[in-house]
Amino acid sequence: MLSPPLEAALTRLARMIRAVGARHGLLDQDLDALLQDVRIRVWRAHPTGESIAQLPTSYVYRVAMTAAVDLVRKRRREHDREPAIEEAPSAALASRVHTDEAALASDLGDAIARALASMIEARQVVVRMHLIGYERSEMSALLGWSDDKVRNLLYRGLQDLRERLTHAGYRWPEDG
Amino acid sequence: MNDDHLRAAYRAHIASRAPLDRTSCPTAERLETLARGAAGGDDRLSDLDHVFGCARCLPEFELLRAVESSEAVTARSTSTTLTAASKTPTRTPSTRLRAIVPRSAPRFALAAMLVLSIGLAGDYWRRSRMVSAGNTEPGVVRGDDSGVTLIAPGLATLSSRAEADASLSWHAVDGAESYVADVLDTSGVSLLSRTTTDTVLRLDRDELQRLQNAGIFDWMVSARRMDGNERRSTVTRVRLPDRRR
Repeated sequence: MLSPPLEAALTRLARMIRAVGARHGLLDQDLDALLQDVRIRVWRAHPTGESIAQLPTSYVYRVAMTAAVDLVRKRRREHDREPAIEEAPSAALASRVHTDEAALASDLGDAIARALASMIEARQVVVRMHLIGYERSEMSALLGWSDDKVRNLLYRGLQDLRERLTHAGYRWPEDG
Repeated sequence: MNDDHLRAAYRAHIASRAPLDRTSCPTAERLETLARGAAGGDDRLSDLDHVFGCARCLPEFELLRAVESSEAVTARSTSTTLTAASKTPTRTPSTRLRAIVPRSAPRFALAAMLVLSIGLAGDYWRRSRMVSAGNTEPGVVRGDDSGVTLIAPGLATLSSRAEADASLSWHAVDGAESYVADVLDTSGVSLLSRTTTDTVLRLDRDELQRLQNAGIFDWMVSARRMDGNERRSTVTRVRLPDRRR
């Protein structure tokens, strides 16, 4: 058992990752495995309970980040060796859903992609982040830009996007 | 047409165009730097542009941000000097937290993202680790491809064997001079940690009793090699049937 502060940090970590898990389809047992892995890594590096008790909670996060990066690296290596066995059929299935809604969404997606490609990179990035669901404060932090700059780029980018989509025949409710 | 339509269509668009190879994707280490908001250099913008347009990078990026966000929340709860007032908005813990909670998106787009992400989750059980001699972070275990392969128990149960024969077993690793078997209960308490030179660890009565009392446990094996590296198995969960029934 880790020290209470480290366990609390791990519990908090679990909650945060579960939020992402719910969004991206990570399974509870996989999260459990990640947390167990973090515990074992800490034990391996600090075999005595006393030395573990003195670790700062930030250490747990550093270990967790390393474990998560390793997971990403491993995933990519396996993907390189086994090209698209798991993913390609899923993507193919997704693209074969021949409903009107899917077809319309696909057309719209293509139109959005074309509009994005025509924008300057700075606008492109903030509009992509907006479409994924990021807030301006998040954009500012990740891009290292002021809120004013992000707001301006986003405003102009969305305006640009809307104009191009309107030109392509898409309509907004207020357009009638 | 509204923002929700745009978002759903965009997510579906990138999901349907997930790259088959990752040669154009930022490295895992670069994703970590980006997730920390600490990326610099001329490539930062183009890397982020890629991440938010790549169905493979995005879930990875979000996972790393979740870990990063957890640390930020902890830092806030333990710090009494944190000030939020700044002309340039910074990524405060609360905004980080808001950013990782599920956002609205139509069902089909979420389903597409889920399908693409499921492989990332499933991979966890197959990965392996090694301690890198040149690791710049002391005590942090790095991974590699070839780990220890567990044999038994897997999804089978220990109790299907005679108690006198209860054991953990795994495949040998080239160059391994010893193996460490770790067993943890589901709350992370160590039930067993033993070093052996064999690839079979026979459980004594007390050890078996501890595992049976736990009912469910996780186990893994680390192979220690003479060159100082360590290779690890996946963490495997075992569920024992209730013996009282």
